[in-house]
Amino acid sequence: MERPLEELFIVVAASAFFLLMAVGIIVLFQIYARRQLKMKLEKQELESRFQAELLKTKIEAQEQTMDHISKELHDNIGQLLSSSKLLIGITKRSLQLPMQSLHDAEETLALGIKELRALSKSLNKEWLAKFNMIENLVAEVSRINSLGAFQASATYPSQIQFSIEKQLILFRVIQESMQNAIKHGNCTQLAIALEDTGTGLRVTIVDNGNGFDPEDSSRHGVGIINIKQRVAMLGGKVHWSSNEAGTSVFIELPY
Amino acid sequence: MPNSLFTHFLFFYLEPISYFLPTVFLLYHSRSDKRARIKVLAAYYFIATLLMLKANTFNLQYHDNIGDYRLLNLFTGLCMCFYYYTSLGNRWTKSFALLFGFTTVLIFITSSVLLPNPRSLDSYSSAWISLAIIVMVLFFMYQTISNVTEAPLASNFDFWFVASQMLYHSGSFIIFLTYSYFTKKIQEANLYSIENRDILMQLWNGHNMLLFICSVMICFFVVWTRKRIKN
Repeated sequence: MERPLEELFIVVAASAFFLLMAVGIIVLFQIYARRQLKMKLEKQELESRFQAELLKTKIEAQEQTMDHISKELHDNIGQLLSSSKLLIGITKRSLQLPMQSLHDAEETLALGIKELRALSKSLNKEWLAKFNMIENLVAEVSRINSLGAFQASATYPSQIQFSIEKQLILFRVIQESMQNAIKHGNCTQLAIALEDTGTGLRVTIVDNGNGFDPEDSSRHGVGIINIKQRVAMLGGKVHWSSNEAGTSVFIELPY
Repeated sequence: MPNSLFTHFLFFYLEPISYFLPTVFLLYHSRSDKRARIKVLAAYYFIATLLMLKANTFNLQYHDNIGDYRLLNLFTGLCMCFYYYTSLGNRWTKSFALLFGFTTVLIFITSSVLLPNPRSLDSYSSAWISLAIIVMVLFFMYQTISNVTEAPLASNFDFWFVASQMLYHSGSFIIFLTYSYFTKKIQEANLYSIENRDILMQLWNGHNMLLFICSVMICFFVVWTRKRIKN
């Protein structure tokens, strides 16, 4: 009678042993999987932090370049144009009957100098930081209208609830979008609307240009990539709607 | 009473088969996995196959194959010492692997040359080998969990080999101590009856079955990990 009991005990003990081993391996797998997931999440967070730092560095480099161009425009080209205007003025005064073309040249130079100064200011971060975004936007719209070939308009709330840094980034986004419309879209009309939604700011830029394919990323230039990156940096979203009648850029930014 | 042919097979032939199967699969695996420790494992299982064939078939008429088992213990110690020394990363765990290798050599010299007669030393030496390997398996498992990588654990052949080692040596440790216990009792009573012989035989059959299960596990995971890596 004892033998069957002994054999049963051995079978039960062996089964328990194998079960314990199997449970051990399963537990090990679970622990490994959990740690692997944690590692992946940490890696993703590090990568996104790295990308954010990289973007910040890139934007700083772009601002420095624009500052440099702004200074060169003002100090170098601006001075050359001013000197040319001065020489024409001297020539005019030395002639008894100055030609109409000289008057026209002097006026054209004066306009060119004025526009150059406006462009130089729009590129200069230190200058822009003296004003809020709305003032900068109004100045930029005036500058574009003064070129004569475009009709730009802007509607905006009384104030924008962003820090000066964020306002500057937003201004660059709007500036880039306007430049894209003028250079690539061949538009003649441009409307910028800023709307306070309560929880954030909605920016709409509409032009009557040729349009483009927003889905075809192979044809997107650096400008569109810059816009996407800057809007992402502000924690917002951007999308384009475009056809042959024109392009609309929609930007949603949370406070 | 179990079928005597089946018991005969379990007792004499299952052990060399259990060493032969991993030899074939590890040689196949070493074609893609060029690491030295895989080649050493394949060599170990090959040597073990030859030793067990000699111990269980050719030496039957002499009924004394203890020298073959002592050699097997020596090769197990040296091979596992190399395997775990190359697998473990920590200085202390590597030192333990070296110490383990050194002690198996010492035990071999003691039991084969200096004190060949106390046969109980052989069960204790086998138990020590199993216990040391269990400890090194735990070191390996701890190291694996502490150094998580992006590669899935299921595709890691070393993990599965070590898991099979854990399974085999945990069971063997208990079997060797039990074997030693019953052998001592029989020797003290001076009563080597058929019943007592059956107890020892069943213990050894249990050991061989456990060895076979672990060998099949190694063979299965050689194929499985290769498939996973290919996919």
